[in-house]
This record gives sequence, structure tokens and C-alpha cells, in this order.
Amino acid sequence: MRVIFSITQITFLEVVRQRFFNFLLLLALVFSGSSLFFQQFNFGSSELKFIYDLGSGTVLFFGTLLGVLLTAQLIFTEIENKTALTILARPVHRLQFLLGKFLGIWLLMWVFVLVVTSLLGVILFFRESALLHLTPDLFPDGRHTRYGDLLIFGLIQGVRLGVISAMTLFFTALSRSTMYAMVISFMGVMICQLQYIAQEATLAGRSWFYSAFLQIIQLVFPNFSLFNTSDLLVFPSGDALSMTSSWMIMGYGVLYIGVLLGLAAMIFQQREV
Amino acid sequence: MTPMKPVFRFGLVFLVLLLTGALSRAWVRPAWKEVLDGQPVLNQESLGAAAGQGILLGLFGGFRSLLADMAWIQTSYFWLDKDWPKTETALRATTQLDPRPLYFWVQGARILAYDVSNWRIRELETSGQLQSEGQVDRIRAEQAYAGIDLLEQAMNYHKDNPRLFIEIAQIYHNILKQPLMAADYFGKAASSPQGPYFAGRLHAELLRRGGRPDLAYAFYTSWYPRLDPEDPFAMRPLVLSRIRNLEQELGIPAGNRFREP
Repeated sequence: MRVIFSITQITFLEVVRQRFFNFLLLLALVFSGSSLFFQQFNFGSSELKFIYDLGSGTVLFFGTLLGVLLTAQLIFTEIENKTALTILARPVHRLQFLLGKFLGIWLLMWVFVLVVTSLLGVILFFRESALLHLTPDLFPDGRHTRYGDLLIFGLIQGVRLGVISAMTLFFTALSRSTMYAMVISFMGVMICQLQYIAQEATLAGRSWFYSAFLQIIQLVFPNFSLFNTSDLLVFPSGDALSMTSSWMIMGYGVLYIGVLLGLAAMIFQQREV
Repeated sequence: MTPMKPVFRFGLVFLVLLLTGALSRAWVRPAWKEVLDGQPVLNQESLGAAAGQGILLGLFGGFRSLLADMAWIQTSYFWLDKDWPKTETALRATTQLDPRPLYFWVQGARILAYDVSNWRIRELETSGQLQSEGQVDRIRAEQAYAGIDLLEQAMNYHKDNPRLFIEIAQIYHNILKQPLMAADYFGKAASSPQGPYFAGRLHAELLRRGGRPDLAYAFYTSWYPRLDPEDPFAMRPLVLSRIRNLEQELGIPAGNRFREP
């Protein structure tokens, strides 16, 4: 356990110092913060909803970029610089090495989600306060924003980014180059994100062979659309996401993190470092 | 540890993922249903309509509002140019990228039903291809139904929204000159939750003008007791006066006339 903790700590510090992370974090913050400017282009939704949509989109999009790029780059840097070899020459199991690396990256993902979601919360709070002052008629029942939902949103997205990192780790264990691992991981994320379209196509029913193929796709790839809960939180148009479903979604994510890490460890065990 | 043959290794990976998927899918089904019911997701149709509009960003679940707004700006740009095929394509992309705002659907339907038909007719006029009044009517009808079709699609996302019914009713009334169909939709608007009172009055008036004063009378008499006496928008005195006019028009005997509850 101490070994895993040490690797986690070192990985976290290493990634925090990377320019790429800081650049993406800054970009995400600027993007999220500029929602007040972007709303000049807003036609459809209410002002606060637009700010929230932009902020949640920032977490999802930049988080996905970070999850894939950092994970793939970090593991290959370790292998190419032979630091992985130095670590594994010690009494460190490959599973411990992978787990430590994953936890370090995941911790960073949590920091990312926390920072961007907090900023989003602050922007929403100040803008809503201003609107309450300017147009009190529009807020007969007080504030509209369900600030507590931001926490649930953050937790679900944190777990989602964990699944993305674990999946990238799995593809990285299979790959021989950083670029290949990144491309395959992005394609994997896209398939997982679009998985429900396979469900839709299966229901449309074509040949049995095609349906069977789609069924397999649905089972093999996790359904990332399950994590797209932002419309059901903070400003839900109907019923908000229930706590049971929130825990179920997080449980689903944790299950896949475990499975993908296990598979990554199995493959990494047999590859040359 | 003996290295596993690649084929076995991949077989094992596949099997583990398949089993995990099979077990977790059943378990997570209630949550998935809640997520699906609570928000519009990008489906096969929307992917086709929105292709090339930065769909990649939309796929990640975020930025849908922003992308839809950008697509709407593009729609407006094509609209200014009176480029109807592009306007229609960009409009469909907008509504598929973010079907939540009613604004896109209503404005879009107006563009299709009112503006595009004028552009198409003018195009034919300018090129000297306009040969008959029937051609004009056909174009107007085509575009009117295109607008109605868009509004009916909107109902998948905004069920029983009175604004959509009213918009359809207006197209039937203003372009297709079908007062009874317009009356039908104004009636739907009036009976939908939060339906405005004026929709009910228009429903009855169009029934009367459409040659069905009996139906208008039946509607008014069943509707009147439900009107809120405290709400000025309900316009109870006006409704009562219309009931009296219809009684005269229909020749209803004094003993059978409507009595205020």
C-alpha cells in the first residue's frame, strides 16, 4: 500500500508540474469564466442555464482531453525514459506501478473537476445574485440554481474521467507508441459515447447478424452517455436525477475502472518495459 | 508466470468486458432510463442532421447550447442571403444539436412556412419559371407543411406545449386557409396545461367561421364554468356575450339557453 501511495504522490506532483496540464486547466478556466461573454450569442436557453451548460461542457470536454492525453503520455514517458524500469527493478509489482500511476492521474482529474466546478458555482452565484437584484420578478421563489447538484455533477464527472483514464491505461498497455495509444483511446471514448446509438440501431432491427454485432458492441464498451447527467442536475427541466441513480452511475463507473485496470495490469504484466 | 498466447489474452479481455457489460447493463438500467427520459440525446437522425457542425464537441455531452447557438447564427446568415436550402439544413442542425429551446423550433417553423415560400416564389418569378397561380399555392402548401412538420418534431421534446399548437394553428389559418384545422389546434392549445385563454376563444371563433357554430356553442358552454372569474385574461363577459350571439344564430329556444352557474 505504501508503494502505491508513493507512486501516486510522485505521479501527481509530476503531472501537476506539466505545462500541458496547466495550459488545459487555464484554458478550461478561461472558457468557463468567459461564459458571461459568450452569452451574447445565446438565443435559446436562459442566461444561467447557458452559463451552466458552458461550464459543464468545459469539464466534459477538457476533462476527456486531459484523461486521454496525460495518461498515455505519462506511461510512455516512463517507459521511454527508462524510469519505469528503475522502479520495477525494485520490489514493486507491475500492478502496484499501474495502480499508483492511475491514482496519481485520477487525483489530478479530481482537482481539475473541483477547480472548474467551483469556478462555475461562483460564476452562477454572482450572476444569479445580480439577476435577482435587477429582475426580482423573474425569481418569485428565490434562487433557481440547485447549487448542491454541482457536487453530484462533479462526483459523476470525476468518476467518468477515472473510467477514461483507466481505459487509456488499458490501451496504453496494448500499444507501442504514444500516438497510437492516444488515437485508439480517443476512438474508444467516441465509441463509448455513441454506444447508445448501437442500442437504437438494434431496436430498429435489421438482419440478425447485424443485430448480434450491435449487441456485442453494447456489451463490450461501457456506456458513457450514462454520465451525461448535466441536463438532469442544477437546472432540471423535469425531475432531477435521483440520488439512487447518481450512486448507480458512480458505481457503474467504479466497476469499469476496476475491470479496465485489472485488464491493463494483465497485459502490462506480459509486455516488455 | 508463463506468457499467455495473444489470442487467449485477447479472448480473455473480450470475455471479461462482455461479462461486465452483461451484468452491469441490467443493474444500471433504471438509471439509464432516467437519464434518457430526462434529456434529449444525440441519436442517429440528429447525428445525420448535425454532421459537420462541430458534432464532436456535442458528442461529449457539453457545449450543446453553444454549438446550437452558433448553428443558429449560421442559419440567420443563410436567412439573410435568402439561401433556402442552406437555411433549412442549418436550421435542422440547430434543432438537432439542442432541441431544448422552444425558440429554435418556433422561429425555424416560421422561417420554413412563411419566409422560404416567399423566396421560392420570388426565385421562380425572377427566372421566369412561374407559370400559374396553382404553382404558387403548391409552394405555399409545401412550405406550410414543412413548418408544421418541424413543430410536430418539436413535440417530441416539448410535449403538450401550447405555443407549438398555437403556431401550427396559425399556419393552418394564415397560409393553408383551413379554419377547422386551425380551430382544432387552438383547441389543443387551450386544453393543454397552462394553455392561454385566447386560444380557447380562437378555437370557438374559427369553428363558427368554419361553419360549425354548434361545436363553437358546445365548447363555449362547457368552457365558461371553468373560466377563472378573478382572472381578467379569461374575459368571462366576452365569452358570455359570444354564447348569447351563438344562441341567436343557432335559434336556441329561450328555455334551453345557457344559464350562468
